[in-house]
Amino acid sequence: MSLVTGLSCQLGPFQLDIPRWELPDHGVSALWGPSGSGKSTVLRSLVGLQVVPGMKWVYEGQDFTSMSYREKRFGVVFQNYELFPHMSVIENLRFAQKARGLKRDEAELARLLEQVDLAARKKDIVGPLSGGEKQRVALARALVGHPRYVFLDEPFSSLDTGSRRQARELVKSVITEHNIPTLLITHDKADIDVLADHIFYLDRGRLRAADVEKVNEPTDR
Amino acid sequence: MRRLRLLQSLFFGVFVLPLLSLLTYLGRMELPPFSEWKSTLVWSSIQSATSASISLVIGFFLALLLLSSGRRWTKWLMLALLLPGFFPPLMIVLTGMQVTDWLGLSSLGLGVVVFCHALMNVGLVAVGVYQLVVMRLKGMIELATVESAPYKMIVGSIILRRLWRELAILFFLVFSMCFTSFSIPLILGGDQTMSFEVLVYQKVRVYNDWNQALFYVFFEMFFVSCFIWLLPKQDDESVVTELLQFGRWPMPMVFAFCLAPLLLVLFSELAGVLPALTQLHLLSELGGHFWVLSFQSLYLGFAASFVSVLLCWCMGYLSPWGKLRKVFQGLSAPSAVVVGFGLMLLFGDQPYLQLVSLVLGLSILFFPYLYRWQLDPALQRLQSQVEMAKVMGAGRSQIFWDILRPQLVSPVGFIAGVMGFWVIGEFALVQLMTGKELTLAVLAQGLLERYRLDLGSIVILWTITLGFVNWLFIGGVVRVFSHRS
Repeated sequence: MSLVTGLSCQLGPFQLDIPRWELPDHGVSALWGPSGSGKSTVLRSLVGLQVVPGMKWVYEGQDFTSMSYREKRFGVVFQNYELFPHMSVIENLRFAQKARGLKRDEAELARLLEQVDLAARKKDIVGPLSGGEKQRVALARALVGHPRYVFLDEPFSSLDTGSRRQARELVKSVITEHNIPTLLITHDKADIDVLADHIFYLDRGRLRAADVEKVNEPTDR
Repeated sequence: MRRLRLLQSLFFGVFVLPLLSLLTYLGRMELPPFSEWKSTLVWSSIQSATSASISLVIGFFLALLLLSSGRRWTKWLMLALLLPGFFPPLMIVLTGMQVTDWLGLSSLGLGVVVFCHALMNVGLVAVGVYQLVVMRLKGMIELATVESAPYKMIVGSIILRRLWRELAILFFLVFSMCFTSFSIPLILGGDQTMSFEVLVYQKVRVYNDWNQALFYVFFEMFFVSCFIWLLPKQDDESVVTELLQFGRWPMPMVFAFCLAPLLLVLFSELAGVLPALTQLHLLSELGGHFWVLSFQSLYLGFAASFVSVLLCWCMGYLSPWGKLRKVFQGLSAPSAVVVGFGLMLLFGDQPYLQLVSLVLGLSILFFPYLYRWQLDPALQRLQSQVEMAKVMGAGRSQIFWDILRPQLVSPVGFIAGVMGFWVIGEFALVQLMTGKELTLAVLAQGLLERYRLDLGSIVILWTITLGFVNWLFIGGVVRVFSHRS
């Protein structure tokens, strides 16, 4: 178990107030909540894009908040994927390898592309790829160099219903295979049903006990 | 981090160098006679208020026409409206002189200065009002239209009532641009000094009285600063990509009015050039000097383009999303006289330093506009990619070389091209800083001042051609180097 403390800040009228959060260091933890509940702020704070004075995140005895991005070694899939549109699929992955200070390892990249079923498209520029393909490139890129923690920020929200189902299965199998602790940010209960091992419910900036009944309501998958 | 801050401060320091230079001479400032600066203040205020009022009224009307222009044409008409403000001021001066010539009026004085300022600014106001209406009132107007509210009611009760504050801001923005205008009142002002910029120029170049010039520089800066502080703060809004069709003005009328400023400028240029084309021997009057000036103009344009590319890359490298961005947005309107006079005090009148200070001055003058227009929006679009790269652990160099540089080639090429185009067509700052006929634009200014509109038109056309040649060349150079590296 990792421990987040002091995740509290005021952003205009919105207040995020999580004094203590035991965040699992294995499996997929889902942070679930309605729009405007502060999920993205939590993600940006944990990742380090938003500085929260006094916040600590102790993981395996080390405080992530006092580390550089390279030392943290996080893998992130943002809602819009944020791929580099002028680069090819493989170049996006190579960029991640270089950014994390790793030696160039084409075999690892080939393996990752194989897993997300994009080996045949590795030389294609990512700009014109379909939404599903972009999502898979983003996932592969997040997993380059075996990150210590993976963040998935509403990773299926840009996909249509049919693609979502397939994408969830793929993400589940890849995450399980790599065995990397993952925080999934979502407002979609179907994501939780398929992927989550632990559920946290965020409501108006505060963590509450997950409402399992609500989570288990039937949804369109 | 400390190194980055130092680099950012140094980069910013380049742009405030003229101001810092002026401040060191503060003690030598000398108070001029009250009647002199009172007269300039009155004339500047009348000139600016009239120019701004006319620009606002006509611009608002053109915005209403734009709104009814039909989605197919709106973007083209906006471009046509903005072009007169984009051309070198020499073309606007020529238009003012041609129009007054056709009307048999005096080509010097308040009327023609106001006409030229309005010609440059109506398009800017029209596009500004159009974007405000689409951004703020699109839903309301569509609803009112569906509920069959009459046109006058929508314009009066929705557009004017909801946007009066923004219209007031637009008025004050145009007022401050006209108040600090230099090129147009310099040539067309006549006996009256229509702006403080011209008065400073006269003090430095005609009377050689730098101490009084200092007073006027600080007075103008104080006046304009008070003015800007009084303006209400605007939200940082993004560029409008949506369109709105509202109102049913006859299309020929929409086209005629929206294209009128551009056509007037182009027609005035042609009216001067066409008769002169049959008398190309006139150019022989200028002799080899003409080609020397052509070379010097190109040289200056290319140097400024090159500096602008360097500034763009520096801006990209120095993480332009935090304080540096805010600072740069506040640097949007440096005065030509502040820049020119500040650098003259710093570098002196040494001929070997003149070119360096001139290129620096022109870059300081134009780069903030180009930054706001092209580079800042491009950098904002890339911000989320940069955040992603940072989270991955990418360093500043990797982010710059692999993400920013390849995706900024187009805007940087464009900025370099426009910078060269403007610099080649600029005469006022060159005159102030050197006092010599160093470029074609200064030559054209002299010809216009001597009413040689025929020869002046040819020189202006040639100047603009050189500006475009430099634009194509520098755009190609930026592209080739970016692909190779």
